[in-house]
Amino acid sequence: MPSTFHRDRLATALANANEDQVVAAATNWQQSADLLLGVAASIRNASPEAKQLIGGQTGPAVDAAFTQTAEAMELRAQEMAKGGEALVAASEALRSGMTVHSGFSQPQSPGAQPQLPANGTAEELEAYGKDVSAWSNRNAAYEAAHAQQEEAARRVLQQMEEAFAGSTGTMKEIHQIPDPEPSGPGVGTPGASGGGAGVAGVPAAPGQAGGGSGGAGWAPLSPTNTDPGHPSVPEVTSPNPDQGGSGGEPPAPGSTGAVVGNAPPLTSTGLLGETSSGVTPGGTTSGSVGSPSAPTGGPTSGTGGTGGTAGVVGGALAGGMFGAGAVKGALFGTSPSGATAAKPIGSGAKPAGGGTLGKGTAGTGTAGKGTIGKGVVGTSSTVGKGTPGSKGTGSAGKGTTSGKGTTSGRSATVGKSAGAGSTGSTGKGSAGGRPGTPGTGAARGTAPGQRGSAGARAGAAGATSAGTGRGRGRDDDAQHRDHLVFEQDWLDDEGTGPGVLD
Amino acid sequence: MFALDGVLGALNVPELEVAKLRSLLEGYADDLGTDDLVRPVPGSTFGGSSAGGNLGHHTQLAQQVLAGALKDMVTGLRGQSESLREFTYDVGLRDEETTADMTALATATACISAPSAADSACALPPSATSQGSQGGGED
Repeated sequence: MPSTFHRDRLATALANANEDQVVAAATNWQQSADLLLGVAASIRNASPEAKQLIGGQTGPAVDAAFTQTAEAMELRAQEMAKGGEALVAASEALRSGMTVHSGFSQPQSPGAQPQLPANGTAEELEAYGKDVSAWSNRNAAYEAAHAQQEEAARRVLQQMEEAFAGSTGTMKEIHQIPDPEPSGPGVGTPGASGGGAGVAGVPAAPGQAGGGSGGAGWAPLSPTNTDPGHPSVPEVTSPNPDQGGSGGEPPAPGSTGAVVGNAPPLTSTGLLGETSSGVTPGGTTSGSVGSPSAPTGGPTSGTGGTGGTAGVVGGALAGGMFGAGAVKGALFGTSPSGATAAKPIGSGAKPAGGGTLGKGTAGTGTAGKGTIGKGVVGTSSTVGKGTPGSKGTGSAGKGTTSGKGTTSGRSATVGKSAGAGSTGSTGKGSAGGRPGTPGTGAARGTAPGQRGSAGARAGAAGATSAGTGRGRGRDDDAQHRDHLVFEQDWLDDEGTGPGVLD
Repeated sequence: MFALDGVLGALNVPELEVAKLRSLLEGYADDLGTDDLVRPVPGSTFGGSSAGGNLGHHTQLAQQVLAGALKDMVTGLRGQSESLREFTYDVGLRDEETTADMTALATATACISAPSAADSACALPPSATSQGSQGGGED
């Protein structure tokens, strides 16, 4: 589904806007300025006459007073006129935005993609080829139309913001009330609260844990807006590809997840040679995924498919579906809202024995937009099933990994976690596991998460940091944001998104 | 009462013109004192964006400042009118005082300017005569 981010922003920016009212106010201010100028001129003209009429020492005093009065009135009139001009500029910007917005229409859908006929004849295959070609053209036009509208919305939004900023500057010059010094947490701090963690079902290669990204959440367009009494108006709650990123947006395939934490990312090579990065948050990381003491399964590797990097680890991931800004909270095992850390199976603290059901629960926490669910850990020789009831603004993703057992005997672990995304598309990732030889360990994970990566990454990150991580550190926010800014440059590449996601 | 007329002429304050001036100032004050000038702009008028909300906020502040300035101007214009009124009143009061002075002057002059000695009469108190003599002696 093509992004409608900028169009949504534009719709929000125009919500409750009343251009006519702004125009009327601008006219009124201009007329007020004109009236004041007229009074000033009258007083200025009357001043010498008053001086002459009254005479003595009083006459010049009256003249000076009248002249001073006229000058002050002219200055006030100029300020009123400037305010009126600022209102005119704002009204024009609003009109432009409304014009662009009203010009939007839903591009014609390309329809369903043709399906390759099973056991089709040559003619059928040829027809299929034509259909696919035609569909591709329609789809390209469809996406181009969306992209064009997005670009138009982005531009007019920028114009509006610039016009508004200019008008705001004029108004500030008029009232000359300084902005107070910000105190406490700044406005628009990342909505990084929340937590929860993924659940480890079986040992997993740490490299499979993709780094969670984003965490910046929504930030106001005017970050310096700290005026008292002015209610911050949320811009848009949907993921913003231009701002800081969020947990709901997948990284580019094979990309390294953003590091949100104090420690450097863990890196390892997956089964298929992919390198992905785990995340070690600033908090304690006890109970990490893939602890060597786990009795089940062998090294388990998996790769993410089209949805992104290998996000699902041995079926151990609670699909941490995050809304905007939730990732950081998830990375820190404990959220401010009381999420508790998961204790994955196979951790050094409590290794689960064969034939037993180890159980760990992931914390529940409230993310910026989504909530982290909880999961149950599956252990060796049994079936563990994770049910991370997480949901967010992302979409479902799926990752599957299979592993090969390295120990004799037979152990099989199935960990399963699910996170339901609310929107977006579905990505799948899978990697065929090789059958175990002496003993077979199979780890299968299914983590419906956002496009196969975000959810999986977040879950992995949560599982990795399932200990007593910090929910949120305000002191670290700035540093985290700096990381995010650096890491998420790719998000600006709007052309990448549709191709990857679709 | 020639002396009174002379004093008014010396002051050279045309009360009618001053009254017209005051009327102008009052009229300006009335014009600027209406609530229709620099009307407030609701903050939500600029839409739901952060920049729009910011503009709405600062527009409201600017409107309040400008409206306050207008209100002060109206007060000032009315104050100027009142000052002119008081000035005119003071001039009138001074005229009355001057009239009294002129009366005393005429009385004193009458003490001097009798057509004959038989007709001489002085309404001034003796002390004044005495003081005047002493003063003249000193000179």
